[in-house]
Amino acid sequence: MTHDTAFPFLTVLILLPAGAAVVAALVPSSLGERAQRMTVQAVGLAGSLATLALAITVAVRYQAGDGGFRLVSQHVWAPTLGISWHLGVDGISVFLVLMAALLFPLALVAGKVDHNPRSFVTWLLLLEAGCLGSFVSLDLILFFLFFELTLVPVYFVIAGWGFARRAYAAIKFFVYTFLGSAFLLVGIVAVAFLHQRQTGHLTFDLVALSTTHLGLASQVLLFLAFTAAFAVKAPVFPFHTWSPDAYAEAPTGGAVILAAVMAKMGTYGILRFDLTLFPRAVVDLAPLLLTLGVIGILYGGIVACVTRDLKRLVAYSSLAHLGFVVLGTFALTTQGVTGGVLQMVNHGLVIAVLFIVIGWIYERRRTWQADQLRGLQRAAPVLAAVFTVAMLAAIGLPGLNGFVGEFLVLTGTFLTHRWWAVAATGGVVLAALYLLWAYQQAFHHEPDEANASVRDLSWREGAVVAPLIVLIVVLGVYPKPVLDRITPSVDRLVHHVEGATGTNQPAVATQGPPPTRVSGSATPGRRP
Amino acid sequence: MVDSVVAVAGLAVAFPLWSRRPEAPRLEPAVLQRAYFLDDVYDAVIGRPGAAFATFCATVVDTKVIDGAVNGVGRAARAAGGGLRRIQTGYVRQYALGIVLGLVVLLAWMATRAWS
Repeated sequence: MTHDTAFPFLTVLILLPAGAAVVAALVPSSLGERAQRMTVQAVGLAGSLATLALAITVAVRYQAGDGGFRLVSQHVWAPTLGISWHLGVDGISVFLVLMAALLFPLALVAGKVDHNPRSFVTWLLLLEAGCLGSFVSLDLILFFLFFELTLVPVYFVIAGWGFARRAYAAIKFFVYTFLGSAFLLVGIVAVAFLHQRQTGHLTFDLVALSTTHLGLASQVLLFLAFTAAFAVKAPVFPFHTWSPDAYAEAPTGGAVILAAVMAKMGTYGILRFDLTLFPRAVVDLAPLLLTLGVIGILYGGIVACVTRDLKRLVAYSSLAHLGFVVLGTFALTTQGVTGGVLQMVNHGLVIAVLFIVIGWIYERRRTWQADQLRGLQRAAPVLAAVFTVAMLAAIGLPGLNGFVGEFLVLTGTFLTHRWWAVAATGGVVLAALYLLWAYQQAFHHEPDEANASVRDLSWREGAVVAPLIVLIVVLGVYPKPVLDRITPSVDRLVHHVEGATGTNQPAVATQGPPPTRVSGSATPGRRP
Repeated sequence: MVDSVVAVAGLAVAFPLWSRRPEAPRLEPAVLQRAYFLDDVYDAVIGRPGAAFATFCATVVDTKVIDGAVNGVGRAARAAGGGLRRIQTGYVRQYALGIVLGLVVLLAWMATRAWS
């Protein structure tokens, strides 16, 4: 918790896209439509690529050590209200930051923006600032601010550049998530006031608040308030029905960010805030959340099996994949939680490719209904190959990234909650079923007249998905560097929960000896 | 010993029948042609009920029940707003009447509390 660097990496990480958004918004219309479009796109790409470069620097500089927060910048903001500008990354957030920073430039160029590119780029850059801010905030009010800030750009992106039912989808998304956030705000204020009553010090700082002594009843209520917002955002079954509408109606760039980045703000919120602040409630309510996760896995898979609308199919598969993240989180073992964190990154990469490719199919065929597509593999082999790699990663084929995350989640869950893990395994079978069915329908057979002349990927399009495909393979073959950085932070978090509740994960879950406990407090990470 | 003899005898009978052509429909009852109906059993026991269940989940549970509840909350909020809007008439007389009625109820409640 020291200022281990003079340069405020994380502050700049947030301000860079926000500044680029301002610049993009100021590009004058007097340039003429074509020049304005080019300028705005250049600003958007430059801003998001600079942010990506900074995020890569952050990830490279990140030293796991004991798993604590790094690159911390802490400044008093509103002292009378106890609000501070407190940022930091640990192994749980650093790869989410990297993934988000990678996906934004791709989202900017992945789909054609047919009108008003200036607003589109501005909203997307603002959204990037909000997403990155959410992942690095260590002050609850600051987090809430960024968490809410993301809603506005997404609303306008769906409503402005979406498809036929965009108005309905945008309103539904906004109101639903906003309602969840209301509970979160009440919860945040309640935690801070309870802390103030104990210590006489009003603060919204996560690190300070994590020492608050809360009774079980308060913990359960506050946990439910926080989790209401996160469960809607993820989404967790049964709070998911906004997502097929929003994903299907959003333009490609919006769908990519919604599903790949913003969904993680929900699961990340659970990990970062629920586990840190309400460990006893987390342990007590784990069976409930595990059950919702497993239902999400199975139910999402079952509904996806009979969905022929490819974008909605991906939305339901997303419900299933996030179910794995929830499962790993509430397994409360190092393996399970690590798998959950890795799965957040995996899911982001995979679903981004799926939505980008479906967007390209739409640009060529004006439809994403699987039963109107046929034989695309013959007409566009490279496009089919890209889709295949992402699909196989989503199924969890060994050698691709999805397998590593799901495997860790399932083994981590099996150690503490055997039957939930057993039931969740069925989801892997369902994923193969619905994805291969959809693939068969759209890509196999002889193409009919409408599908025979579909253009294959251009070099530009290939360049957009290439980095994602490479990462999908690399993370599948050699995830060790990533896992080595995630695990110490997860260890720390799991020990925090164990220390607060007196529970112990099985020794095998950490591949080491059981922790020796001194007067009920969590032992520091055992890894050197 | 016996099983070997039976197997060799079976081979001797089968070889001339099937060696030239792989199919001999008159010798193969439906049960063999359809591979002991295994595919049909799977289809009837797993495939069809599974598909029916999945369709039920997608069309009834997801759209009607879960999403119905979500949109129902929205409709209820709108209906409540529409109902409450009628009270906001802007007539001071009606508001005054409301205040008086509220006062009466409040006093009555306090009276019962004081009495008991």
